[in-house]
Amino acid sequence: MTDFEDKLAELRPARAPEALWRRVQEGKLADRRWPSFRRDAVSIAAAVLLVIALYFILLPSPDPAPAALGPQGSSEELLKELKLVRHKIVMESNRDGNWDLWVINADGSNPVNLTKTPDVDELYPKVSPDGSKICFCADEGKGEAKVRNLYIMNSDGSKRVKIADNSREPCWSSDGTKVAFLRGEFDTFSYSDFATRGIFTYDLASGQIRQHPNKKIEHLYTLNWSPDGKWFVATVHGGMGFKHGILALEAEGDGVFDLNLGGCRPDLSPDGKQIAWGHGDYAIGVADLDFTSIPPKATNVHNIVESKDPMETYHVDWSPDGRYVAFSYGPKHQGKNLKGLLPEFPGVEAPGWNTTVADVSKKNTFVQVTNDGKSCKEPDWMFVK
Amino acid sequence: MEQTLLMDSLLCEQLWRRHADRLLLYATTVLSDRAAAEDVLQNVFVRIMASPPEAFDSEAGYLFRAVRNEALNVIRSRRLSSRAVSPLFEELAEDPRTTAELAERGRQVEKVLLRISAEEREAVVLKIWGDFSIPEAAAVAGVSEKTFEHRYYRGLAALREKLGDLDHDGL
Repeated sequence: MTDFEDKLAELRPARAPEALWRRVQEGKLADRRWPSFRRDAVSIAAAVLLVIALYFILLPSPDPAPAALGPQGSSEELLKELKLVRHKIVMESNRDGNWDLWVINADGSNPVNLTKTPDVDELYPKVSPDGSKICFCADEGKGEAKVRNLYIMNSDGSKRVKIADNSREPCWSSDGTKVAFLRGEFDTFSYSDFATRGIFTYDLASGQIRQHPNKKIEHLYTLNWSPDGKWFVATVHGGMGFKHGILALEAEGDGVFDLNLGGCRPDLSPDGKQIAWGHGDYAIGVADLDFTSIPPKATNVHNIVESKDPMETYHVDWSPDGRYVAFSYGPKHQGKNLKGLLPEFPGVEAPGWNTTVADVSKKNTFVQVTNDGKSCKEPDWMFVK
Repeated sequence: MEQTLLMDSLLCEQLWRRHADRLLLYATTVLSDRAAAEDVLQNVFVRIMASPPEAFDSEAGYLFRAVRNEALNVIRSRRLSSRAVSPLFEELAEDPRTTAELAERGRQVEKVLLRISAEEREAVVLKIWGDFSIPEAAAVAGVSEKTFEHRYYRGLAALREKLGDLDHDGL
């Protein structure tokens, strides 16, 4: 067999359902289906109903329409505007030959390396809501001993303290007193961000770590904590009965709900009323969130950024004032390097990727604020008074 | 009599456990209708339980031929709907990295597989997932080895053209 045939053969046929075997055991032949003329009649009836439904759908509706975005603005105007924004952006980059955390102004000016550690790869920064601290991942050790741990440091890079071993994908509580994070699924190192099991919270005052009551939580990534502390929102990949999606999970219960948003890597707006996420590989989606109903709902879905193949859009993050989002923007990777992994994974090289900022109120108005393409990604806004 | 029925039931279950997954994949790709494919599998196995064959030359060959004949009967009687056929492949593996890679690869292969001609699709499915040799697969498809080989390599080339080397998996 050729390599190609081998790769096809690695795919296993989906399992025949047990219910089908039980039907066989009952010894009854399958019900004969409707003859085709009846099916045709049903198709015609369905088409008529569809036309009627479309008629009513297309009539003016009292339901809220998707937010009207302003007309597309220019990148130059946006960059001028960003020069006046006081908040900063922290990101991961390997521009100095290894992975460090860099802080830049909103327009990309004044880059400062916060970590400068040639032997440690710092990744996935998450800034506390008051802008005073940064929680981040650090890949430490080599080969078999390599492990991804969690640290907190001051936002100027001082006073680094480890808070958890073999953990990743942190986020802050809105009052900045706790960090929630995901444990690594395996003892051995994995770049796959969804190789996780369980949600945990770290209390900064006491140093205590507590596990979420739902012990079945697995394969989450991009964890968020709602401002009222009652919900987590995260992507799931192949876990808890879900194939792939964005979930809302009760912070103190077992409730797990699919928000039915196609895509991944969500970020909650500072007021918790909106969600932004990677709406596929080439768009940033925004939707309104309603956590007051069970199940929680995401409505008014629309794209604020739409890119074109091969330029991908990932890692969206709301600015503290909710006016902008930062995101990673770069070419889809082709070929066999990158260790067989994907550039959107933390700590995986992303040639040509830059931190980019979009105006949330305007359609497709964005500008790259880094330009060296040295894997500048996972941006997180830093609040500045 | 009761003893015979019990033995037949056990034999039938063994056949089911050994072959049902790939038979269902085969029937689904022949019919492009997962629900109809399940019906085909049900009918074939119910008939085997009611009247077990006396001897198999090759149990896989026998079952694939039986599924093929039943599927062709369904096509002739136009008892098909246009239901989704997904997923053709198992998507969960033991670790998430493999799961992600296989899931993406499965989706890509499924998409392209369902677009190539029915004859080429059948040849690829029988050879790759039916795990038959060319002569065995040709016998199931009811064509000469040369014809089968031609269909198989043409189908494989069409898949390779659309899928590339199957190395990159987007998440």
